[in-house]
Amino acid sequence: MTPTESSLFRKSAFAVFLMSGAIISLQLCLIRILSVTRWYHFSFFVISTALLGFGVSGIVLLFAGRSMLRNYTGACFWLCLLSSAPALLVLNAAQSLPLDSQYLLHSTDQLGMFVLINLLTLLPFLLGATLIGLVLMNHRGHTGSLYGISMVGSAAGSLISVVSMYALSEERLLLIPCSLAWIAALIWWDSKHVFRVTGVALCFLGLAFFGFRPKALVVEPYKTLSLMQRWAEQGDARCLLTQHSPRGRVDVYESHLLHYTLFAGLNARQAPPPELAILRDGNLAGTVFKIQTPDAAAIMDQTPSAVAYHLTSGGNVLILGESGGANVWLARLAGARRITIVQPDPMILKVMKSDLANISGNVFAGQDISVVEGDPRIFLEQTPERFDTIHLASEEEMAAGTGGIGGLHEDFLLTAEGLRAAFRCLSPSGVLVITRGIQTPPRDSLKLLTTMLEALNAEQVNAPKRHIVLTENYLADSILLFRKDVTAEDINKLKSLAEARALKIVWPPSGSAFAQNTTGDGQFPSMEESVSSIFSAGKERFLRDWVFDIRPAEDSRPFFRDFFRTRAMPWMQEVYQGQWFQRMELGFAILIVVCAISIVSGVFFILVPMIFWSRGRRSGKGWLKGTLGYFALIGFGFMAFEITLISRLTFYLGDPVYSATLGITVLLLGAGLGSLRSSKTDPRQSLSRACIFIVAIAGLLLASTFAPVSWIAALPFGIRALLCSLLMLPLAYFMGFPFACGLQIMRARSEDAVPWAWSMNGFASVVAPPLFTALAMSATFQWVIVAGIVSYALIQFCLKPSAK
Amino acid sequence: MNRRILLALFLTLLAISCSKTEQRPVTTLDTLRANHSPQAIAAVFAARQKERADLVAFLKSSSGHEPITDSRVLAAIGHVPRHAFVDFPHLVERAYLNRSMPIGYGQTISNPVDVATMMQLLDVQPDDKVLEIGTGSGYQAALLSELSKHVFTIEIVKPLEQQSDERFHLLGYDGIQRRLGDGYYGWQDQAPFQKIIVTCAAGHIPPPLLQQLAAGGRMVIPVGDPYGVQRLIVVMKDASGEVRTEDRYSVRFVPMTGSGAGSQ
Repeated sequence: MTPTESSLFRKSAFAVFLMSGAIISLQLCLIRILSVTRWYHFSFFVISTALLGFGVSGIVLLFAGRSMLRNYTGACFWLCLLSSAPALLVLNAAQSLPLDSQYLLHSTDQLGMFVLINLLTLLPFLLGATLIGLVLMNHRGHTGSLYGISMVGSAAGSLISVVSMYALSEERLLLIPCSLAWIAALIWWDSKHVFRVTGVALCFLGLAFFGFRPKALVVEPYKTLSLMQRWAEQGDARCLLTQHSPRGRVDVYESHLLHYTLFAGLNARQAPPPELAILRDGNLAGTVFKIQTPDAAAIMDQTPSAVAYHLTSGGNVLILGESGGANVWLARLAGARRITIVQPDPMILKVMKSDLANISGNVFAGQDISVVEGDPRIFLEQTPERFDTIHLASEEEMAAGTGGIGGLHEDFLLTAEGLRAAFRCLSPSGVLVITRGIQTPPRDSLKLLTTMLEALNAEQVNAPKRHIVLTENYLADSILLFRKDVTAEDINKLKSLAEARALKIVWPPSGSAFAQNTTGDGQFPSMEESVSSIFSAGKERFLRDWVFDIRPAEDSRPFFRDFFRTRAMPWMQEVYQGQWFQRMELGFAILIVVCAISIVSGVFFILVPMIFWSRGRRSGKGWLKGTLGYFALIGFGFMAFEITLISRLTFYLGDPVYSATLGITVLLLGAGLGSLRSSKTDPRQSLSRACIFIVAIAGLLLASTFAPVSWIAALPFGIRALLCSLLMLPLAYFMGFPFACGLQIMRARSEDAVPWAWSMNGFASVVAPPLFTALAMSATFQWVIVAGIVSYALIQFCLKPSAK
Repeated sequence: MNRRILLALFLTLLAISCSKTEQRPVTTLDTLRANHSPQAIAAVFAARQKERADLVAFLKSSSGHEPITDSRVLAAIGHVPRHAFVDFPHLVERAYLNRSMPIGYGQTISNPVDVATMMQLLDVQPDDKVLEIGTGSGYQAALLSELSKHVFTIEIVKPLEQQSDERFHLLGYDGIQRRLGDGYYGWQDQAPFQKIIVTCAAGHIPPPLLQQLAAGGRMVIPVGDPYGVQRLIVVMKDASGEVRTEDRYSVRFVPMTGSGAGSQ
């Protein structure tokens, strides 16, 4: 390289580093912002939108790449600059559009609005990805190095964003990616060009203005945060505090209009005490009673879970995932000797232990209280302590996934292995309790029962059905899991506790005459019949025939809230007619819709222009097929491993946010290093070797199980994170080779290899996440690994025909 | 050539959006504000009768829902101009479709099937004292006032309460007793009520409402996840004061703001 070429390469490499960081940062920041402002489905779309931007950028390069190369520095400058303040403007405009998600499926106006928002959001990703693709086209001899730098830049951008989320509120977060893009534009600064000087200055002013006066976030009217803001406006509520972190935003509101008590029964004679609402990402995470003594929380004694506390009165209580302290008051009401609270969110703990300590009657403090910051499952795996009552408070909710994408939520506590860990933590006379809202037809409670049975069978418990009691009020089913066999004496005690709380004992059949509540609509077996079927020899048949998927959740398929069965849809339509949709669990269906939208978008924005472009061109049919297949497979393979590894990290680290950040960072860093290394080797040899290693390492991943969790759980968080990173790094390193090596090989066959590769890889990356999540939900994550292995094993064949 | 096509496309889109803006219809309330007279009110009730008759026929049928058989409920729906309770101009045309529609502030006017079903379950008699929690647009209260002379309604969102107040006045529903307040506590001064209808999703049945329900009274309330799916529950209080519940349908309502049962 001449000094001029060398200088240009350095500039390009630095620009790629910054813009890669900006793109990943934009993705993470938008996810954070949308989590607060919109229905949570929308943060899902950001990933697809970003990856679609990469795919479309390939098409832009295909059509306009050559003319851009003629004014390379100018094109780079404007691509970077447009990704700064103008992108900020566009993104703010997109966020301000009046989208009403409730009417998305019923209104073409709203659907149009949704498409417009996505197109506007796509623009910055498109600009950034075009820049990277253009640099790759211009510096053909340095594909490996540049791709590696891009990966490392992405890893750095990911870390910068996460760290920034501690300091910046959601309103200011977009400053991070846009500032990175602005710095990238400075690389191409040329004082001789008046437009460039003016552009840089104007964008700086724009960013500075936004920094000082950020635009207030528009929160969807259906989020609790929006409601609280409305009440505050009319003088009925007051925001006590707002805190930010990568894990989420926490708001605390005080209002005399709050009357939240989950599952309080019909015998409750008084309203709940004055409350505060804790919101996490704009949704209600819990309420705090403004009281000083347990007596004032008497309404909690009318919740179904209260029965478990009274059965083990005076005992050692463990409350998993407690947020606002209501269950702590309940434990005290029932005379608990000692109470352990496990809460994974340090922000909630900080709020409860310091900010709201006085107003909440110091509910998280006291001689009888022990507070643990950490993941409930990890806690269960590592604690040597035994408890008389274990309350899975974080798992209590009205509905599992209906009307939302709860079904996609990975939960390692409500799996057979998780419940087994909880069962082992019970004292000899201990009781575990979990209460969930009634649904018609039933699903949650039945799935809980099958998962519990699986856990008890794994523990080699004789007659598991003698360890389980199910009670029901008009709102919820409450399941009690006893460490010992339930005796007649227990049943008698239960009967009087149940009657005082308007509860019906569904299991065991106890001749309970209490039938105050009638549930079900006669279209499906009653709860009693369903439970009896699950405990009978015909269990497998019942599971197979039931309208929802109630097979036990397992660590390898940790989707407790997924009940969707495609074959149930005709039956539901026939029985419930126009109301069938309201009774379905939509998580899986929404995933399929996202997948379909991704495919349609990919076809529309990537494949159709590709076909349009290739028509009439004689060269390239052979290499074209190879390129398409090769880079599509890499996209699928990479995403398969990324999804699986992040899931495993969530399991080992117990925190989805840190797991996703660490997983993405390590994968990008490792792949970047691999890509950098590939530039110094023979591409064909490196590729073969890398694929062998990828398949071998992924094979080990496939063979490994979640078994070593107990000793890993005992390690400090930092050591766990380091250990997981080290285990992931080799796979990530080798995954960096195929893209760079492939580009080098394909480039020898056609000048247009880069845009083609860019597009196809983007297309596959758009389709892969929903597709593999659906695979994990319907099969297991092991099958996703298999899909990844097959993808990487097949890429060799895409190269062979042309090689001959 | 390509640039010209793009420019033409852009200009066409611009023209369409501008023309749409200019042709925006005004709401019925706008018309009544401009000319509030008995004739104008009569004109509102006379308008779109065919659509109301079609809606009634749809409710009586069993296409996609359980048929509504209560003739008084059907007559009320056939009489009350639903289009006058829809605020957004672009939705006025769709007022008689079986759809819930936004009325602002995160609240909705429920779909006609849910409205009619709840009224049928409530079984309002002419002398019943009826309490409605969640006035919203005021449509349900207007329907209830066709069945009983003693209708009381409470709204918690101030702008909605003001809007419905004006709407009741303009449409001649001055007999409906209304106030701004927290529906969770009911309307103690007017209790007991023979019928209570809650038109927003509650996390649980508020104890004050149970207390204000008269012996032999009946309450219909959607209970469940806010913005998700709720179960429509019928609460019956017998002569001795004992309460019994029946789980009837799955519905979707916006939350009773304040007792929402958000998941943790």
